[in-house]
Amino acid sequence: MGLYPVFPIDGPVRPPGRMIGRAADVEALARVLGQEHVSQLLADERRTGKTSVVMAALDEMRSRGRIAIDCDLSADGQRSSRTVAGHLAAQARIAGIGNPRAGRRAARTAREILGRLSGDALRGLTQLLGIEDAADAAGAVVMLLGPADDGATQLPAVLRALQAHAVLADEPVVIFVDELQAPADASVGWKRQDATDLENHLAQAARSAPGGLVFCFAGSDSALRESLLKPGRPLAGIGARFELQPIAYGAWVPGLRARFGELGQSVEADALDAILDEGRGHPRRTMHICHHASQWARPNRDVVDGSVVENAIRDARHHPSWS
Amino acid sequence: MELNEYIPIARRALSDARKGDAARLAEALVASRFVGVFGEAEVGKTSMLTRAFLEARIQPVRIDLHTAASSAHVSWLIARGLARQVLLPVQRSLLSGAPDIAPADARAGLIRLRNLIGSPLTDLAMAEVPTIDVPVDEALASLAAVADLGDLSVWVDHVEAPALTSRHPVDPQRLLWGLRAIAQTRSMQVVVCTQGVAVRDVAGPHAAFHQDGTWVEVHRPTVSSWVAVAAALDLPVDVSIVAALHELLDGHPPSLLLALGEYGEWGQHERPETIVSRLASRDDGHAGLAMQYARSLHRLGGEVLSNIAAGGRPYADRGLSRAQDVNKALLRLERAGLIYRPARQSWRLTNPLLAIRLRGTLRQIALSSEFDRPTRPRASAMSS
Repeated sequence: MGLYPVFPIDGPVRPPGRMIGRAADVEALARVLGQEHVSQLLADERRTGKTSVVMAALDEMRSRGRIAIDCDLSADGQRSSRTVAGHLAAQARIAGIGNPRAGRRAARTAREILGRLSGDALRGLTQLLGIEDAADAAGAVVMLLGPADDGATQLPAVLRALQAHAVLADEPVVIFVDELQAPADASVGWKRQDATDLENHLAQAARSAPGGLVFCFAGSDSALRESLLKPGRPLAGIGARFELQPIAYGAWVPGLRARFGELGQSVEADALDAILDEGRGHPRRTMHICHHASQWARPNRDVVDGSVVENAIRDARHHPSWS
Repeated sequence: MELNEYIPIARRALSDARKGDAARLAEALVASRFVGVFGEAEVGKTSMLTRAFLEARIQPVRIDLHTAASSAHVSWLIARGLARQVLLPVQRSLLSGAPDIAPADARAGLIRLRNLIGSPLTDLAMAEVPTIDVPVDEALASLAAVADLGDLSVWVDHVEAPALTSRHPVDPQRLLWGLRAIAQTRSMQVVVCTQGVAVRDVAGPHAAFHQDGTWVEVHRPTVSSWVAVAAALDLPVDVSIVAALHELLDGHPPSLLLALGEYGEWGQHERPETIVSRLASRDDGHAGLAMQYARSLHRLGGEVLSNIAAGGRPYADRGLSRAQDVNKALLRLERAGLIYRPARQSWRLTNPLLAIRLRGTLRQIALSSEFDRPTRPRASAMSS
């Protein structure tokens, strides 16, 4: 198994530089999350690159010193609001939030910031954390995000702590929630009460007055529309819809040529058009066809021509998920 | 040659004859991080994949859901698989059987394993049966920890098996979603092996591995493969006899292995029909058990099974049962591996010897008007 598959047909595309035609989407998403601080919702059909784009945007934000944490609601250790809380708290600690040493530095910074915060903001902060004196805020954050020996980490408390940190640091915390539809999908394994709790906690945190948390939700469009995003549900209406732009022909052509080139293969112009026609711009479909084309090209003097693509499309159509 | 000597030798010969299939699988294992393998029941998916892993020099953590009776069992399988990644076979054997006299290198390996996956899972790995209940998410977390150190391959076999038992505690979907989440962020390969009828559970629109990776279908071995087997076993048969057996037995690997063994036993003068009849006449209660199993899967199961064996339509009760009930019975029988679909609108029993025993003749009889397609229930029948 290579680390960087030439034509990725399983899992998110990493590192970000391996994506074709997504630089603008990554930049736009990093801007709306990291600079404009507007929560976003990416709901699209499966395997269109949502996770890849978001992870790349998070990488960009982290490289600029922003705090960005992520969770995957389909992962086995993240199928209850308690385990999601534990996961978010652990990520926050790794990022330096809730670290006692960082807390001391943050406490010094916090005292400076507290002097600048309005009365309303101070009241919001003390309410969030359940403290009487805003000067105790930094310590309260450390305590709320610290590992709980009895496993009693609560999601609302963790989210409040992250919000408080965002107020103290004067910098929002970005939280990426992937596979948002998973709690509503019986096959993933969430218990109904846990799914309801999670929905309510996230909605409450996203709408909370002091702000400070910027959410990026991603999930399968059809599944979400049937469940969590139905009008009247707690998460309905949260976040601006972020649409992934179709990958331009002008990006596909040089991108795919370069990929075939990595394998020492050349691709004829008509063959490339045939690949893109059949792929219909869908990243995963296109990659599947290219993957098969690269195999058929080997006995064809490493040339991807019309007949190679015809065979590749036939093989790609045999994939059980092909539609 | 005695049967218990002959069968392993014949299986090896068959595996060698199918090296093309194994090579296809090995290529997929090397090229993809997700590989799906599918085919009918009893076609040899597990044996082909075992060989492919060897050829690709990959030692996977194997989770065989055929044998997993509980989630504790799944954790045990994962723990054992992880132990194999860290410990040599002789070290495992000594640590399991005689830990007190295990040499220093084995004990060092055990300490390494404990540091990697924790004490509960290590104790589970050393046990011959699942003795303690370790949650599956803890086992999966250990998989993730080992995958952090380097390439890891996980093979989930017989994904369709738990669905055969109602309220089975093992949820394959949940397991697959958990594995997917790990594979998204680590260098971990997931290989799934299942019957064709259950592929949608893995790759369907809402399934964990939708549009992922490479899928490889394993088919029944061809006549030329069986000719190669006969030659390797030095059997007194020619191509025409092998072809005739292949046709009589629908290319079913276990049955053909037995039939070729008969040639080794009885010599070259027997006609293929005689050999197959002899095999079918040995009723060891298998046919009765199969019918009982079919009835336990669905109330129409037994009738559907024997009708398919006879070559008729699946159910011929002159319209008293609804088509959807018949379809439900067909789906359950297919998932159980009792029947398969060689073509659209066509069904066969997986085991041709069972089919012969149920219908009482070597070949299917011609269709008669009695075996009509199930019709809509008549109004008078509904009201009675």
